[in-house]
Amino acid sequence: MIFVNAFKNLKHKKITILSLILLIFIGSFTYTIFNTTLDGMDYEYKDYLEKQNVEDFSFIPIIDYNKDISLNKINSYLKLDISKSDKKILEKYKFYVENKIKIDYVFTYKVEDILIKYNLINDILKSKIKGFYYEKEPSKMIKENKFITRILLYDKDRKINKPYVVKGRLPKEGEITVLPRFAYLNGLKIGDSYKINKKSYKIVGFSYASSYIYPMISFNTMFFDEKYHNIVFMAKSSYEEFEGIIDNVYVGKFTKGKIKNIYQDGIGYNESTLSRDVRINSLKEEIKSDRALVNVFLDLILGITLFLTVIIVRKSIKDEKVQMGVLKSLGYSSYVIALTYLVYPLISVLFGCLLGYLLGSLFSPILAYFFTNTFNIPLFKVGFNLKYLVNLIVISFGFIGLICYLVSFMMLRKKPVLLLKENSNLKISFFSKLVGKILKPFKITTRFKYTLAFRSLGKLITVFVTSFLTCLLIVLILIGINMFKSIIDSSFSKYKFSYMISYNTILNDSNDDSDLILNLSSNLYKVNSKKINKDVTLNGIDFDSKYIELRDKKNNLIPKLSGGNNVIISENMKESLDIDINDTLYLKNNGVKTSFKVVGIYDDYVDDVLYVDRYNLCDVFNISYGYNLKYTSDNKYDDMSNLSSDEISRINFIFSIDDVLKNVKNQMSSFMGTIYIVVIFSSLLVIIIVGLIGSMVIDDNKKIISLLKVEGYSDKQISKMVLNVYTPFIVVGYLLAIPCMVFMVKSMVSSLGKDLGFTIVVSFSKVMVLVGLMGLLLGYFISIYIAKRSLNKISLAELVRRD
Amino acid sequence: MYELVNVDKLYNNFYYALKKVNLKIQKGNIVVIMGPSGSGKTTLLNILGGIDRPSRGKLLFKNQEISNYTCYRKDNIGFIFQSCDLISNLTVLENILLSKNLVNDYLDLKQIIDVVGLTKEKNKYPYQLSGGQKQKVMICKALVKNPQVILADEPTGSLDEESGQKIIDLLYKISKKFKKTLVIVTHNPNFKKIADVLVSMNSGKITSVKEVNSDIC
Repeated sequence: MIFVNAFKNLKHKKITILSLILLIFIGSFTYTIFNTTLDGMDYEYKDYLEKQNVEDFSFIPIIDYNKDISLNKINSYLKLDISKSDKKILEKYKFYVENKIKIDYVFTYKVEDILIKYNLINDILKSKIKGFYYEKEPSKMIKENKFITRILLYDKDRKINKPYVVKGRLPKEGEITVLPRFAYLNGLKIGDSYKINKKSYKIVGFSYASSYIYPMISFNTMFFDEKYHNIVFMAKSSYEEFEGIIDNVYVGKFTKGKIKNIYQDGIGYNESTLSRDVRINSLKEEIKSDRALVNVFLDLILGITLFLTVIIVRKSIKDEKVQMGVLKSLGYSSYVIALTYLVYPLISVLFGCLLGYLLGSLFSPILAYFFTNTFNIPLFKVGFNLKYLVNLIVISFGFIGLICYLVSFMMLRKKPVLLLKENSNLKISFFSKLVGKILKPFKITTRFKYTLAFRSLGKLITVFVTSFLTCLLIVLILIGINMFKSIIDSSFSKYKFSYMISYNTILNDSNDDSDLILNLSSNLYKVNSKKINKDVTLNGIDFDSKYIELRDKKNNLIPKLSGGNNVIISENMKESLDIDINDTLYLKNNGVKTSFKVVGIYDDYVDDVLYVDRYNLCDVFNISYGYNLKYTSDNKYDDMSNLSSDEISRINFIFSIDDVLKNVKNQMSSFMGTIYIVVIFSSLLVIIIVGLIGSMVIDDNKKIISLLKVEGYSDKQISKMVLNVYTPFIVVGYLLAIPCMVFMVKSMVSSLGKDLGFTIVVSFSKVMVLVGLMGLLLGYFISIYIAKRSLNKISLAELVRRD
Repeated sequence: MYELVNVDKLYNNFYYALKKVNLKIQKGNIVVIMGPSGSGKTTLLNILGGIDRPSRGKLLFKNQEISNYTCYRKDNIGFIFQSCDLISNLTVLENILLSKNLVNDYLDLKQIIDVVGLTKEKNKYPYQLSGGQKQKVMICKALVKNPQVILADEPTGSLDEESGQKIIDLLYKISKKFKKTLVIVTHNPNFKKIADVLVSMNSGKITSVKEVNSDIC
């Protein structure tokens, strides 16, 4: 019967129960939708990697042209059917090897071109490769205004990175397959004709390139633009005829377990191989980071729900203590009576979890569809899985129910006579008395206000902690909105050139109106005396470069380098490796070691590029003067059909700043979409919690408000004396929440940034402080107003009669 | 002072707590309203006190209808409730000061406390008081505002006979000393002794209005 009574009492606490149900619903919905989708995606991803035999790593061959190729081998190459010019180069090479002359860096590129052209690399690699098997993966890239296409050679005999056919079939001569999403957005169907680099091809299928799970087409457009980026498979002769920027990498699969240090003697990496990590592993990181974010969000909701449920249970017990005293006098034990208070967590968990689970499962296909538009894996099945509902109910009810039961039991342990005693209800705390004594010189209304606030320290702490938790959410919302905008602003404002062209060989200096840069990969192995192992990029720039302007955090121009072993590093490197001005960096490249002194730090939170003097760089690493990177504003690079075949054959990639900026902004807008979803959820939570605080304040002080009204106090006076009494504590809670949340977010993004390779700026300006405070107080006063309106509906006569 | 003209109080559109009540209360009188439970005594008192509104009919105070009920209660009414609702975080003196704070024309606090007999208890908190002492505080709170009317709803309801009698005597004393109109709703027959007018109620209607020395109805 007492359980029936407990359920009946719920009808008097509709708003409270609804708020709890809503909180649990938000948590359950988030848990279900994300876990259903992420679990499905994780399974599909692993299955896909296995079925398509996706590479374990990719590499470029590194050959020591002084040692690795014997005279006999060179002689055998000279006997092959090769062009006259190529023969001339090989003969010169033979001369160097015969006479043991150290071979120039630039010349080695020419020899390498020949080895790749006539497919002679394999021969040399055989002696160096152990522990894995490999295949060459030829591809070309072309940029035609906004459209960037990566063309992959379709070879049915290939075992690694097998293409995945979504619809149709793989191509023959004169045919291609395209990405399904690209086709949809550009209105293409199977059977249509599609033009690339002025030549038409027939579309025979939609397919994925299995090593392009995140289809980062090229380094100049890091974020996939599904409308303008395409991956195409072509048959052999079509591929060979096609003119585009060649990118030949090798892909490997381990045979006997993973090799720790893949990049060693004989095999190395470039931008294409390094992009593999993003293309293949970013989905894994996405799943990991999404789970982490969801777990944090859920922990927060669970904590808030638990806290509020405990407050509600405690208040109910205090309101009903006389009745509980009567029940105990009748012989009911504290254990049994405490069980009746489980009705709050039971109802809110059951309804909240069930609703959240049902809607989460129902909407999970939408989230799955969203993920498969971003990542090229087959659409995976998601749906109802009872295990999530069981987890939700068990965890939520187990945790909240247990704590509530313990709290109820502790409160009901008192002897029946103490519960029945009215006086114990009126007893006030030591703090309230102390505050009363301190405030004796003040007006009676002031004394009343603050003794009321301190009447119950527990209640005060409750309001303070609840508002602190709410404020954490508000601060999180404001930080999130501002976060990505600051990265774009700080990272791209410094670029004054329109195009960056990377070459696959070191070219001799030219006289055009461009900035010439020597771009080298290097290994940073020590900073001062601290050992490090990090691959970095060195950019050798000229003293008179016109496009490169490096500014520090305070926007002061860093003086250009002119000779000497000096280096300028980025803020990202400073933050991630704890480097500062005057530190010494120790680097090695191709076996040659050197050191540079840090003379400046430029304001960029994405780059890991080190800037040094170009001529000095050539000297320290024994390279003939030249460049392999160009910054220019020449518009001919916007469309590769403007370039000669010779130039195209030397180009690695073209980087258009406009394209990059558009690309980053597009991507940021989808990041912001995620942020806005979090913002909406957090705002809902804030509304619920602030509403609960407001209604608690009214509920707790209902009697006092009624008595003051009866006495003749006006609504305005009552608001000032009673309803606004907790306002200072809410403001203090908010001010404390700001540094706490900023610290938490900074720690989270710092750890995330280390994985992603860049730093995200977290800031919270004075304007944001004010905006957050105004929002919080507005919400608080609105909820008080709403609660007051419901109070005003009940007649004064009824209120003063209520106990 | 008061005139109730054909006052009805309806709940849920069908239950009459008061039905066609007509009553006049003169200034300075002690009016005792008695009747069985559910007869509408408290409802009548609440209407007189401005904490409830009549569904039909008029309440005239000093021959005028009440326009602002908050000001009406502040300036003219002192309430004494059976449940002794005191503010638990204020002392006896502070509870009384909270009422005094509302008006400019208040009575002398020390005098009231002395007359009521709470001098030794003025710095105590409500939880330290007995039932009778709490009721005395209620009387002080009602009186300090120097109201025109003091309305008391079952002032001795939760007290024993001895304490109850003390309260009855006190109410009589302050009514005469401070010249206050006193309207008391009660089951306690001992109040008849101090009444100037005795009103009987049953089923929402006034069955009789009796001046102590004459019979009106």
